[in-house]
Amino acid sequence: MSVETPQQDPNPARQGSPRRSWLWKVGVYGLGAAFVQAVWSTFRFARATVSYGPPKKFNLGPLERFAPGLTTFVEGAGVFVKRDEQGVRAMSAVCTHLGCTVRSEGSGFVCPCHGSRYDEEGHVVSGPAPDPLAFYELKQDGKRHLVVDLARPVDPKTRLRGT
Amino acid sequence: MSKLLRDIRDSFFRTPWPADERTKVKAMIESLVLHVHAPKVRPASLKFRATWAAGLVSAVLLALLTLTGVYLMFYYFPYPDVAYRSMKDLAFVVPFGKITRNLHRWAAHAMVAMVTIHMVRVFLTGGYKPPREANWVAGVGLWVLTLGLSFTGYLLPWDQLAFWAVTVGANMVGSIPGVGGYFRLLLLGDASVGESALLRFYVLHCVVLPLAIFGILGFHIFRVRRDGGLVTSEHAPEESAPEKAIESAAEKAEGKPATAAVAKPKPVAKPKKLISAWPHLLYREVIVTMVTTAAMLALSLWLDAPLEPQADPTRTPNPAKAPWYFLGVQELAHYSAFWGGVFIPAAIIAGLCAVPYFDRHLGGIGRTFPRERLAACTSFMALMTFLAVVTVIGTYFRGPGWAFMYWPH
Amino acid sequence: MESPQERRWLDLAFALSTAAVVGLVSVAMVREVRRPPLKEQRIVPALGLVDRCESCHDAAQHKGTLIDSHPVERFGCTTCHGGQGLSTTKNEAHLAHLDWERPLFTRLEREANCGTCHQGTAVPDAPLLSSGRRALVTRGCAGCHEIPGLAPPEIAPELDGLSQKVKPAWVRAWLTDPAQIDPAHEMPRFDLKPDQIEALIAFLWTLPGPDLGPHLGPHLGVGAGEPKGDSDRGKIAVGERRCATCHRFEGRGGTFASSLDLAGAKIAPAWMSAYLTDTHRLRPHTRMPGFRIPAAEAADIVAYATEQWVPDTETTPLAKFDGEVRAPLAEQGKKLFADLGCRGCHEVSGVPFVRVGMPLSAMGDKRVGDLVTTTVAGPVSDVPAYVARKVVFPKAFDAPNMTPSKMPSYRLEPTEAMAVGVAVGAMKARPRPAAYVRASKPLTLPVGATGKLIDRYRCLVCHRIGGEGGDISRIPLDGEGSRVTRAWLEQFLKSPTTIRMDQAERMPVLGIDAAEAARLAAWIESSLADARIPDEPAATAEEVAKGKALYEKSGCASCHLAEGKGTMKGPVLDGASERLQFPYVVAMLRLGNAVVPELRHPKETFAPADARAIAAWVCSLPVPKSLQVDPAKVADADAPKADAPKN
Repeated sequence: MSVETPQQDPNPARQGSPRRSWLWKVGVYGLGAAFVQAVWSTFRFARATVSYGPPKKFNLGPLERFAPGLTTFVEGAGVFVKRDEQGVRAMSAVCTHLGCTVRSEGSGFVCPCHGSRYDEEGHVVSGPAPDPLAFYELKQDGKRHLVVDLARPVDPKTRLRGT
Repeated sequence: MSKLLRDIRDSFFRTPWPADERTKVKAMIESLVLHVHAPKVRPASLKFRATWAAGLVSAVLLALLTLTGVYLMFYYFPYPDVAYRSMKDLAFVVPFGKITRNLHRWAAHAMVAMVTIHMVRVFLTGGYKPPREANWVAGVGLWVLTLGLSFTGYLLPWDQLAFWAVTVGANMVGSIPGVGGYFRLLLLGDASVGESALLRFYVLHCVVLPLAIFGILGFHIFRVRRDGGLVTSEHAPEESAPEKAIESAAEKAEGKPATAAVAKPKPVAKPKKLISAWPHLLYREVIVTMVTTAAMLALSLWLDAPLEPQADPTRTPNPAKAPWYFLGVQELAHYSAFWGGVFIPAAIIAGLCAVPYFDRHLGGIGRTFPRERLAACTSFMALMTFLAVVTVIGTYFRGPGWAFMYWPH
Repeated sequence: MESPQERRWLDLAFALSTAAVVGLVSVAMVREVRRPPLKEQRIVPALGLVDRCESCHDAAQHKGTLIDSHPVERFGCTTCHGGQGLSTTKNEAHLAHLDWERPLFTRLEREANCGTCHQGTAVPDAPLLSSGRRALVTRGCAGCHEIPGLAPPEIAPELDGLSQKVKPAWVRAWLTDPAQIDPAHEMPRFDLKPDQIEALIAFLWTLPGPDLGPHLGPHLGVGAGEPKGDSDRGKIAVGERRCATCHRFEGRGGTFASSLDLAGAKIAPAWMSAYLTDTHRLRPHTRMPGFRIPAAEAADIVAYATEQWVPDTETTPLAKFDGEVRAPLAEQGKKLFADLGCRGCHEVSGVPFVRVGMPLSAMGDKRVGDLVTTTVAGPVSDVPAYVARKVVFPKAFDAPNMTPSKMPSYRLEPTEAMAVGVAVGAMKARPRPAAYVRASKPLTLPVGATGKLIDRYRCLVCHRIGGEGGDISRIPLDGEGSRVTRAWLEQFLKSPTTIRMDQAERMPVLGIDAAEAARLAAWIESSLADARIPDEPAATAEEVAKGKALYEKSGCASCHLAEGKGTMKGPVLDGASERLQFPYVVAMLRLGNAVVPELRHPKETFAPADARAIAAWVCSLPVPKSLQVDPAKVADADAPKADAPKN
């Protein structure tokens, strides 16, 4: 339906010739730069700077809630509170394999996701878990409530005497 | 370049970088993205005065809105009060949050303006005449959808403007005799604007209306190509003879017989006048895209999108004003909720859709405001002026209690 | 097909627009990199708030002690301070903006805001709010305005039968300006026109009153041969009854009740006599205790009042208000009475209670921009300041195009006006979560005979219990059962003595008889005990000896009198054990003001052992001979009350 005019095309680009205006090059490189900027900005945008998740510090309530010699699971905080004669400790209930919450079974713990087993001190007995369960820092606040800080892992032997 | 890389490139791009007329046409046809264009276009349709670039700018704005809209969805929670906190988070803690929201807001305003300008241009150049009637109707639909996206979008910040403008808007729908209450319930999902309304508006704004607008836009652009490109004076009959049967190039190409009812388009294309879309059209499109983007960026960097206090159902701001593009309707609604807020807008939309089926002679098409179409263009501009006037009154001359006064806020 | 020239223009547009996009995005990137990062945020889901104030401020450095009871973990920052907690920049956090209209609270707004959680009138550490809330009651604000939690006030006299009590001239003078007659009176000024006053009088004179007859008694000297009351005895009775604790006359006395300086001219003798012999029969809602003064004594007081409490005709020309009642205006007056909101405070038969003012329930939500201001009123900084100015000078806020305010003007000291403002500013529509609301424990008074006594003697008009009640008595009765002995209480109720010489307000002689006193004392001991005061084992002799030395060393004698030495700034300690319980004295010395904050005792605290020792010595002091009560005399004092008229 149409026929291109045979007249000489003034645009060298269309002739397959490398002779292009420097302005054209500025534009093309600009497009590339804008693309790079867009990619960088997108990653920057997507990196959340604000968290509405649960706080790292968790109030477990008064010490009396935890009887000596028992291991008590505290929902929400995701820790087992272990109290014995020497003091009280908070052991993570988060499996070191892929983050499921372990269950108390017998004297030890078992992960429902991939079957990792831990003994009562959190050491791996079997399964894919690479590390023993973590222990977190415990403190007492002004009202003598236990506060666990999930951001501060401590040595498993560290105990809070507690009052 | 190794053979493997070349093979990979060739598997995606069937044609090499176009160098001659054959490959240029082939590139335009083979590429998914480019084939929405005709491979050859009329030089006249590339002129700014022929198109005002309004349609393309609208499309670029839509792309920008889609992009920024998707970005905003990552940080937006469609729940009352939390939604407002999302706005504050965008302003204070989300990287690029403020500019993303600004871009989305200003591009939305600009798109309403540009789509309207595009409609004016198409009317003045007679772009709705046969065989482009359906595309005009589609265009009117896109205009309505653009307004609908704006309407659903401005509830989402959950600020005072959002809450009260949507309350007013929903009550306009509710004023339709008989079925108003039902439609209002459909829209809000509840008796008043609340969490259901916010969720519904969110889904409409982010899923339903965008799908609709992209679907219709696909049809719209497809029809531009199928109807023989943009309307130019070359599509007009040579002498002023509207009754003379003409035949469109498109119909001829498809071998469709012209019906008696449709004015028969005459073969218009003068072959020597066609030039390839690659690069003439594409280059201009890239430039318009970049200019539009730059303008929106500049606006968004130095002008923050307005935000009002958090929605408070117990306190109606006075005056409670919608964004500027709805103030014309609000002004009309102030006289009567149903007649001004529903009937007249619906009548205008219906009237616009009906125009191409009654105004069919082809004299003067392709030229802006031609002498042959003085009556049509004048009446259309009168309608547009009326809308502009009520909009200006609603924007600048209505104060507390919707009283007539100078109110430049 | 473009020419090479066109092509160059296109290239230029391409280069420029692309460069512009890159440049503008670079600007955005630089801004983003320089944006101050969010350092800290406090999320309190229960209050629905996210406060980022700690990005700049350190909550650990918070001054003041309120932070101890309002930990930032539970309250965030903006709950008490206002402002935009979500902001990470100073100006947007502190100031008002289009999108956040409420800036940081002003000092008054902060105190008002305490009232959004703390209910009741006794709000700790919020003196303005507490006194403001009391003023809302005593000033009768709920008579015209709907105020959450406040019933229609019962503070003003019922006006049925007013014509039996006063003359029209008195009402004219009073309504013209109450302050001219009684500057301390709570009734506000209505700025009435003379014909409005006439209409109101005409209406009030149509109201019938109760029959005064049986209470006229034989002692008023009205009938022939009846003995007239004796004004000299009346003067003594007025002094002994301690009327001056509440009423002002002869240049002294309290401002709590109306001034009696003009009572002789104001109140008809028959009405006054009837009132004194059975107060609550004529005025069931009065704050005045239900006196049942024997008819003879009442006649003496009436005689004294009519002789002494009359105006100086030159300074108070009551005569110029003389005139007839214009009865035809009664209907007009009735309408006016309703329109002006008189019914809000004054009960009359035939006019229903309707509040004529605007509801105040969301007044604290008003923004400064919402408040009507005029050039007369000047700018206001917050709601409390607005209210404070409005109650004193409401007409200042009458904008030219508005109907003038009907609100009367209240004579309030600036501090009291501010207090009212703060109390009104505390009324916000949005309720706090239940866990944050400090509800005022509704005062549960005993029902039955004890309750009737508490009501009849209007104990709560002067005394406070659980934050409710008046503040004429400085020290609340809470804990009184643990502080004083029951025997002393009984004696005090029958015949009150003076304990604190520095206190002008003294307990009136209410005429409580022995049975009533026993009942009230038993109630106070059992129901108003202080659980914080532990039992103490009895003191030993060594402690008493050690206590005497400590007492002398600690300078207690600079206020207290003991063994005849010291001053009487504080209560006399000789015979303290008659009055005070040993454990209370120990606790008070050990904990200082923590036990009774209202006590004007030095803040110093003693070690437990020292506190015990001093208390032991103080409680060992014998009652001096001069102060010993002769039991026979007490019995005598009770005797006349036994045959007081009880009809």
